[in-house]
Amino acid sequence: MKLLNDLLRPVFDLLQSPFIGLPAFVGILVWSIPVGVFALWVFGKTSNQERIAEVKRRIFAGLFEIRLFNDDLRAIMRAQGEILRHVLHYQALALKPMIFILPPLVLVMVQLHQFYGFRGLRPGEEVLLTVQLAPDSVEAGRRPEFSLEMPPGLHAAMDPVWIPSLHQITWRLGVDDWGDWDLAINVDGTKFSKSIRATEELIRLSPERPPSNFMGQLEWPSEPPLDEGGAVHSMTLGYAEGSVGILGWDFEWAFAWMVVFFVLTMVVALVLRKPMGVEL
Amino acid sequence: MFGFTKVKLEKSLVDRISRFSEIAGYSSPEEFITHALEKELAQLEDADSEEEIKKRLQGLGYMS
Amino acid sequence: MTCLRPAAVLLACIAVAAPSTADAYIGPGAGFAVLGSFAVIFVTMLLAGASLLVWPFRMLWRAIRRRTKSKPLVKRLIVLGFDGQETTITERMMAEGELPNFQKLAASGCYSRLRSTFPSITPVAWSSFTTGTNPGKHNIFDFLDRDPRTYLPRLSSTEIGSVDKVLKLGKLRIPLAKPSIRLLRKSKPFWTVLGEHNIWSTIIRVPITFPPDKFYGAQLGAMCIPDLLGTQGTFLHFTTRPGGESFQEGGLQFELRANGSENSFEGTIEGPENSFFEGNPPMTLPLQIDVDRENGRALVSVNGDSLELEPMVLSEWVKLSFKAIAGMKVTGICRMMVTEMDEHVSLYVSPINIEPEKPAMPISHPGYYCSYLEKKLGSYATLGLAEDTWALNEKITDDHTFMTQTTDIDNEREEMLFTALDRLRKGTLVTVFDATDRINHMFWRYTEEGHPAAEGIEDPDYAHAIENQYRRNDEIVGKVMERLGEGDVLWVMSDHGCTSFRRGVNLNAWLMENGYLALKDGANPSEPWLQSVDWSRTKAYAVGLVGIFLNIKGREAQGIVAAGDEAEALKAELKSKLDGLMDAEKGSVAINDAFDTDKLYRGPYKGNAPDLLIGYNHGYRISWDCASGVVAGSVFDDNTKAWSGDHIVDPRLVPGIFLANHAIDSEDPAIIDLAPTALTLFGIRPLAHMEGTPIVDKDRFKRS
Repeated sequence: MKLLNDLLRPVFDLLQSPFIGLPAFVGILVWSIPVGVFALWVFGKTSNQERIAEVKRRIFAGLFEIRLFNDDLRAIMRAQGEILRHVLHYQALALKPMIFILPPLVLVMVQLHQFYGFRGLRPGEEVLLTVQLAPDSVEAGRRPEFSLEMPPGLHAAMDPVWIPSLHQITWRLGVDDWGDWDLAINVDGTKFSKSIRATEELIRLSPERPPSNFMGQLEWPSEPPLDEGGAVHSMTLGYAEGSVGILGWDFEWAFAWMVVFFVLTMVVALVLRKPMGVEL
Repeated sequence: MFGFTKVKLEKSLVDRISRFSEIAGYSSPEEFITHALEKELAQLEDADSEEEIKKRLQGLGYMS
Repeated sequence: MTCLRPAAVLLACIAVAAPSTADAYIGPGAGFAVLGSFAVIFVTMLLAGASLLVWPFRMLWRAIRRRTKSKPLVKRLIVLGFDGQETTITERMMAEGELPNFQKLAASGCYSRLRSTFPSITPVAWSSFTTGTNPGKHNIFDFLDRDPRTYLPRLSSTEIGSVDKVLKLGKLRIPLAKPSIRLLRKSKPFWTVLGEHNIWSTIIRVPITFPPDKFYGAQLGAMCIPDLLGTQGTFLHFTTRPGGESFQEGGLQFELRANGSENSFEGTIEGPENSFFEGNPPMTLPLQIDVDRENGRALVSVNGDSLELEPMVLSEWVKLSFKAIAGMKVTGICRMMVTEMDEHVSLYVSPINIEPEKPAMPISHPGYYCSYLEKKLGSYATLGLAEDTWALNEKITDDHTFMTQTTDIDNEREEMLFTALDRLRKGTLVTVFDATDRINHMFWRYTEEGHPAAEGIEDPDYAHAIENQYRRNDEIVGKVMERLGEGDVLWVMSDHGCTSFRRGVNLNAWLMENGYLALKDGANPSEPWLQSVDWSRTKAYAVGLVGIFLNIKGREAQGIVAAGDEAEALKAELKSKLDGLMDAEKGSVAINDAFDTDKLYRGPYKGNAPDLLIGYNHGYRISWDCASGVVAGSVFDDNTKAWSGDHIVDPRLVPGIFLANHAIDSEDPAIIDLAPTALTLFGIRPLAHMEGTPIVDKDRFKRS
C-alpha cells in the first residue's frame, strides 16, 4: 500500500497541477469524464449485457403495464411486484462489474478527496492538531513527555492538552501567514513530523498522517504512514471542509465534491452509453 | 392524426339526423353526417395522381 | 436529468450515515450500478402512488360516464380466431380423434359451421364479426375497391393521405402536418360498445384494424398495416445474377456488386421515401455481404451491425434504421436469408415491417401497446399480411423458409395471447391467428392429386402442413381451456374455410369475349390495371378479387350504362350468362352463381360494392392476371403458383367453424351474429343497426 501511495502521489499531484488556480467544479468536471468513460467501459466488458438488456426490457414492460391497466388495482400491484423482482435481478447483475470498477475508482476518489475534500488554512484561523498515541505506549497514570517546535508563521493558541482516557495530545495552533510547513513533534524523545498548509490554492492537503494499517493508508495517502509499534498511532489536523461552487451556490461539505463528481460521472456514462454501445 | 373538431349544427337538423341515422343503418348520427359530407366531397376532390396510385398498388400482396 | 437526483440522494444518505469516510467511496461506485434501477424504482413508486391516488376518481369518472348499467352474464369472453380454418378438415380430424381439445370443447358446449359473409374473404368477414353488420353497413366489400374516377384499384380498408402543407428550405421539404391515416371500415366495433359500458377489451390482430380503433381497452392492429415502404408487403432480393428486373408481383430486385474481391459484395437497401427532400428520394442503407464459401457462412453488415448467416437459414429480426434528416430516423425490422453463395450470391430480405417499439405509424391502441408487447416478447411481425407468401410464390424462398416464418409469427401471436389472457380479469379478449389461412393457401397443392401447382414435386416435406397446423391450433385451444375459470366463455372460430384453387378465371377476358368490354385500338391487352380498356365501349369490368362492376353513367368517370332499368337489365343478362359458367376444357362448372349485390346488401355504403359478386365453384377463383387488371389471355388457365388454395368462392362452400364452451340456441349461426351475441353476454342489448341475432338466449346464462 505504501509503495502504491508513493507512486500515486506524484502522479495525481501532476495531473491535478493544471487546476491549482481554478474553481473546484472545473477540476471535478474534467476528472469525471475519463472516470465515466473508464467505468462505462469496464461495465460493458464485465457485465452480462444481454441479461441486463433483457431485465431492463422487463422493467419497462412493467411500467407500461401499470399505465395500461391503471383501472385495475390488482394488475398495478402485480406489475409493481414484477418490477421489483426485476430490479433486484438487475442489481445482482450489476454486482459483478462493480467488483471490477470499485477498486480503481476508490483509489482515484481517495486521491481526489485530498484535493477537493478540504481547504487550506488561512492566516488568522486556528486549527486543532490531535496526536493519537498508541494505548500501550503510555502506562496508566504517566503523562508522556511531548513538545512541538513552532515554525515561524504559526503560533500556539493554547497550551497543549493531554487527555489520558483517550491517549490524545491536542494543540490549538494559530495561523499567522501563508505557508507550507512540516511540524516537528517530540513525544517521549522520538520525533514525528506532520505537514500543514496554509494556502488558497487547490493543492494536496493531508488531514491525517495515517497509522500503518491498510485502511489507514488507503484512506489517507498524502503522507507516509507512521511506524508500526511507535508511540504515535496517528496525527490529525482539522482542516476546514472543502466547498464546491455550482451556479452561484457554494456547498461547503467535505463530500460535496463527491456528489458533484458522481452526478457528472453518471451524466458522462449516460451520454456515452449509446455511442460506446454499453447497456447500463 | 386523429383529431376531432366540433361543428355547430341546428338542433332541429341534428334531431332529424338522429332519427334517420338508425333507419339508414348507421351506427351513430356522427357516422351519418361524416358519410354525407364525404360523399359530397368526393364529387369535388380530384383523384390522386395515377403514379401515386400505381405506386400504392405495388405489393398489395393478396391480390396480385 | 431528474433521474439522477435519486441517485445523488442515495449517495448523500450513504455518506451521512457512514461514520468512516472510507465508506463514502463505495457510494459513487455502487451508485453507478444502481442508478438505472434506482431511477426505475423511483418512477415506479411515483407511478404506483399516482395510480393509487387517482384510482378512486377514475372509477368515479367511469361510473358517471357509463351510458347504462349493464349486468354482465359472463366474466370473460375469450375468442380465438383461426383465420381460414376449414370445416371439412376440422370435422374429419375431429372424427379421427386428431383434435382432442376441439372435441372436448364441442362435447362441453357446441360445434357448428359458421356462415361467412358474401364474399367469404378475411377483410369482409372480420369486419362483419367486428361490427355485427353486413358489408353494406361496414363498407368493406373486398380487399380492393376501385376509384370510379380512374378505374384504378385502391386498398379498401385504409386511406393514407399525402401532406400538402410543406415548408421549403432549399432542397429540404419540411412537412407541416402528419399525413392523415383513415380506417375506411365504418359502423361501430362491438368492443367500442363494450367500452362505453366500462367493459375492457384486448383485441389482438383482428383484421381491418389499421389505424386502430379508440375504445376502452387495448388493440394491436393487423390487416392492412403496411410495411415500411408503404406497401402490403414487398420483399427485397439482392443478387449478383444479371437482369435487375423486378418481380411481376410483390417483390423488388436489387443488384449486388462485387466489392474488390470475389468474396465481398455490396448493395443498397432502399427504404421509405424521404418526404423531407424534393422528389421524395428513398432513404438508403448500404449493405455488405462477405462470404466464406469454405465454411458455408456469410457475414452481412448493415446499419453498423454484422450478422453471421448460414445459407438458407433465416436470421432473427434485424433492425434497419433509415435516416431521414439529422436526428430523425425511421426504423423497421426484417429477416434476412442468404439463398445462394456459390457462383452467384443472393440475399433475401423479408418485407420491412414497422418496428413495434417505436412505430413509424399508429399500429396499436393505446399507442404504446405495441411497445409494451415489444418489451414483453421482443420484436415481432407487424405487417398486416406478415407471412411472406409472395417470396414463396416467386420461388425466392422455399416451403421450409415460408413455414419457419409462419410458425415463428404464430408463436409470437401465442405469446401475445397468453400475455393478455393472464392479465384479463374481466372483459373480452380476441386474438386472431393467421397461420392457418396462410398455410391453407400455400400448401393446399399437396393435399390433392394432380394440383397444377404441385406438378413435378414428389414426396413434398410439407404434405401434411395443413393438418399439422390444425393440430397446433388444437394445442392452443387446450392451453386456453386450462386457464378458464368460473364465468369464462371461450369461442373458437374461423371467418371462412378454404378450398382448392386449381383454375383461374379471367373475368375481364370473358367480358371481352362476350362483347361487354372493349380494348383501345392497338392497345396491348397485357397491360395491367385495365390500362388497355376503351371505356367508351365498355359496359362491365372486373377490379379487385370478388366481383364485376358495371360502367355506369354518372358513377364511373366514363360510364356508358344508364343507371336504373338499363343497368338492371345488363346485370340480369350478365348473371344469366355467368350462373353455371362451364370450364369446357375440364368439363366442370366454374361459377355456381353470380349474386346481385343490390339484393345481397343493405345499408348506406352498398353503392360502393361491385354490382355482381361471383360465387366460384370448388377449384376456381379469379385468375392472377385478372386480379392485376390484365385483359389478355384465355378465360380459364391453370394456377401453377404455390398459392394453391383459396376461399374467394361461393361463400356457401366455405363456411367457418364455431366452437364454444356453452350450448347455443341457433341452428345456423353466422359470423355476423357474434358481435350482438358478445354484447348479450355482457348484458347489453345489441344496437339497433346491428343485423346479426344473438346465438344464445340470455336466459341460458342466467340459469347457469
